[in-house]
Amino acid sequence: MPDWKKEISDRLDTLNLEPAKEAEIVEELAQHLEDRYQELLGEGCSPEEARRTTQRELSEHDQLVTGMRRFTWRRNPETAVLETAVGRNPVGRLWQDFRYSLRMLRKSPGVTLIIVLSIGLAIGANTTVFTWLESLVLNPTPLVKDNGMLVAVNSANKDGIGGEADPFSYLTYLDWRDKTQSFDGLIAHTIIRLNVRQGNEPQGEPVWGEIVSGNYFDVLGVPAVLGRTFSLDEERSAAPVTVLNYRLWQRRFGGDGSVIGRQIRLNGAQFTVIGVAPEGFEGVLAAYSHDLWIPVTLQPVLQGRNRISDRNDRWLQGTARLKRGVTLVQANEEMRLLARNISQGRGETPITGAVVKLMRERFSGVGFYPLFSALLAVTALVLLIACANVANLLLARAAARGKEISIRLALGAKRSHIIRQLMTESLLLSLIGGCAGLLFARWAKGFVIMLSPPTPQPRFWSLEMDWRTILVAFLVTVFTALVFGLVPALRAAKTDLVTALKEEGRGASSSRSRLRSALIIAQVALSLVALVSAGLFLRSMREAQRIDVGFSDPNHLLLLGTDFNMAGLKREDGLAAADRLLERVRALSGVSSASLSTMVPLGFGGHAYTPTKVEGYVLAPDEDVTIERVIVSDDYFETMGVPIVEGRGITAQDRSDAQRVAVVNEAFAKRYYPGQDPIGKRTDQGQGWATVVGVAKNGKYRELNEAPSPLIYSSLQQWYVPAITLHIRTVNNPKMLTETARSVFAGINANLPILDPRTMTEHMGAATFRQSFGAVTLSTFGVLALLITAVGLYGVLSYFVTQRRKEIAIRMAIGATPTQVMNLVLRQGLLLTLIGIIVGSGFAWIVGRLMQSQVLEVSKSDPLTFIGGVLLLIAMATAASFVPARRATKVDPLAALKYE
Amino acid sequence: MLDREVKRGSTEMLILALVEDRPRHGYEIAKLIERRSDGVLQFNVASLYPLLYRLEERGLIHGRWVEKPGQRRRRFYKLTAAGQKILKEQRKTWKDFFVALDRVAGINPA
Repeated sequence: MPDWKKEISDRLDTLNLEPAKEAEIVEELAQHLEDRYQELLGEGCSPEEARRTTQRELSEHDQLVTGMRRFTWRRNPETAVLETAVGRNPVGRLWQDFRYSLRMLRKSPGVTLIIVLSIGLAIGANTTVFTWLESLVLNPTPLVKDNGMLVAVNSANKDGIGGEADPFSYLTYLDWRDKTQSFDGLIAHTIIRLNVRQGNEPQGEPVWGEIVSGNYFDVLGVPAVLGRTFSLDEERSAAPVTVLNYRLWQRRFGGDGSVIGRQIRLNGAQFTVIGVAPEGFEGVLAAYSHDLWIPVTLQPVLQGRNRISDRNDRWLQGTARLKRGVTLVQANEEMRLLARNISQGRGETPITGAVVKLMRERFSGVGFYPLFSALLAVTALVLLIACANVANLLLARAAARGKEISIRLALGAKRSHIIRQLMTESLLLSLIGGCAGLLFARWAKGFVIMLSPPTPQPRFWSLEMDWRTILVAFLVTVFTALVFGLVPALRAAKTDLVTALKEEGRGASSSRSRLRSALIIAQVALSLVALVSAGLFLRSMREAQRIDVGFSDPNHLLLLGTDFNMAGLKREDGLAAADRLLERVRALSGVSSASLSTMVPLGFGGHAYTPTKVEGYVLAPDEDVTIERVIVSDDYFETMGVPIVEGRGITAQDRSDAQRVAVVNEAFAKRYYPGQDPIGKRTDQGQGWATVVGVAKNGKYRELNEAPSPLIYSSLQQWYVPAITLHIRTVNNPKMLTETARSVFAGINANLPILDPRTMTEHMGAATFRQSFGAVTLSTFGVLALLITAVGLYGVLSYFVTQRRKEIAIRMAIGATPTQVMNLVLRQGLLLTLIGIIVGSGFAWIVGRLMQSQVLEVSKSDPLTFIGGVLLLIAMATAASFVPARRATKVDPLAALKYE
Repeated sequence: MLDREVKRGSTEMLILALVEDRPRHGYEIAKLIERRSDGVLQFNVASLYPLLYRLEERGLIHGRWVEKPGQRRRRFYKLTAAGQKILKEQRKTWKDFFVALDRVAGINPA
């Protein structure tokens, strides 16, 4: 290509123009010639032809020089203006900034990718945890009207399970409902297993139902999408009606609108479908889903035994809508007095009071709230680390672009414009990161379901990211952009022109390095906190596996639930079926023993507490003895491997016509007969006096970290309960036995269901869920924090090396060895890390304390975890420092010094 | 090609008219003149720029360097208020001139 500039300069030479002006004219004209030349080429001229034509035009008649001679330019060279074509239009300006930013981001794809990934992962983690918190804890019942006003109401007993969530009888419910002033409605409900059968179906399907008071749907403010909901009249008259869950309606009835008025069989009894609940309504118990609802007064029809008229039979849960203006404290006080007075007046086994709690605290034992709070805190840490990292990377980039910015400033660009430009870049980065985060969250939110244990009654969670989640993500994004964009932008715009230009674009100011070091220290400190939290959960998960649960080898236990009611069997037939079942299962090869029990330890639910009289025990004032009851068949203690420490267990001889017997656990003996032999003493759990014949070892019944609590075992033959679980101790893998067992069940009664077949190991997953879930999620976040910090440290040290190139060169020139140079850089990296560790230790200790409730049997400042975290951080720091350190040794002293 | 004197007298107005609605750079101005006159009027670099600089010196147009992303910076010229006034006057003069020509010799510029 011809050198147009030279051609023009040669011609202008005689004019003796001011050099700057001449340069501008040359530039302008050269562009014109270039355009003309290209045009000619485009028209098909050969390059030589095009060149000659263009040259001729330039020289034509000597016009240029003659024409130019007449001017004397007095003005100084002009300043460059950035795209004035759209400069005054704010939208156009934004577009300009946006396109310019995009170009700058494309220019350094590595840094852009790292920044977008750190923001994306951090925002994704936050959005995911927020989605979990929102759908599982804060707003598990989105369809319930004004659900923030709902409270859990239960009876309180000094000796119950810490007054946690004790149920109450139906008659007590009626008294409470009619007399309380604190609520806009009190409902009673409980879970029930049902067999649903339509038309001529030979076999039904086991489903989960909820027995509810007639005002259930009205108090919750949930209307039917089809048909209607219950009335109080239906509760009073015990009309056999049912409301279907939307899912069940879709699945079993294909969403058929004519289902209303249809007859279905529940546990063999005829019911009329009167309505369908709205899609997504699963009841108010956050952990459970229900397939259909039945008025409470239909209980005798479904379960055989009448629990409606027994004031001592406590089986219902309460939920109420708090009146506006009534506080939780006031409601508690009213209910405590009300419950006690009614209890005394009716002469029932006394209830000492009632408790009203927030819904999310209903099952504090299996509550997600503290776990998710911890998770939210850790993800917030990750976000902070990511922000610090991004600020660091942007600072480094701003430093690298110091010269560009100085030149733009020198050419007359406004500082405000530079700031706006840099802020647009940050905003763009965080918006891209935010979008990446939302995508990540969409993908990751399902993990909570994946990680959750197989529960007999899984909750159908709608893990939708609602507008609140998205709003939070957006706010976090914008906040991030402002925080990490503003600092580098302000600093960049403050660039001292002279210094920056003199320093040849390295724009190193010591305050900037200090800020960057501070950011790294903060990142290391926060990472340590995240790592220690994760470590504590990991340790506690390991500890959980070592806790003595009170029974032996869960790996060879098969659990098969069943319900004689669902096969339409009444007491005598049920007992006979139970005997036959045990007999046939025990005869199978590979079975070492088998038994039945109403309670399987360490799962969700399945516990029953009963007001209990203890012979010879003197009640303290206000004391109410409510003790967990477990009904078992013979061979239970042998099958489970629960040691009998005194006396004997329940045997096949403890039949209904024999003396009523009970086996208590050690905690019971210690609590009610301290220093005495409990054998021969008597207890009454509402079925008449039973003689204590043995003492069994304590176990963990609900949670791994619970304190031993009293418990009484009774004989199934003496206290018939139709809903029961078959425990089979196997020689080999228990799973292999499930199909054989199915044929045994079918051989006894075609309608006898197998409910929730599972191994004991699977079942116990529920008890260790919080630990394992916490460990998995928190270690993921811990590793994330570590990686982000490593990237940050790497960036800072690389910058350190570039900045001190000259110094390193001099050192090497006067004889420093590569090792010494390497150590210089490594030292810098480790120093920052160590300061970070010291700062972080304090925080880690505080967080450890806060997490104590979640962490089993591990000291809050568990030294092993702590040291592990520190070592991991140091290893990370060394690895991240190594590459820049090696690069430092590769500095060529000659080149580096010449460059200056 | 038209006589050089006629061309010189009219070109000032042509350039002013071309930068009236929006700023343009030199090459664009040259191309537009050529295209709109179907090649009758032609400018090359040697004839155009002295004219542009003269117009600029007289304050009728104003040139400034503009940077656009992904392009070389270019000098764009736009009409100043003074240029606007002159353009208006010249348009009137030429119109009167054409009316006169039409009356005398039956030439209609339209």
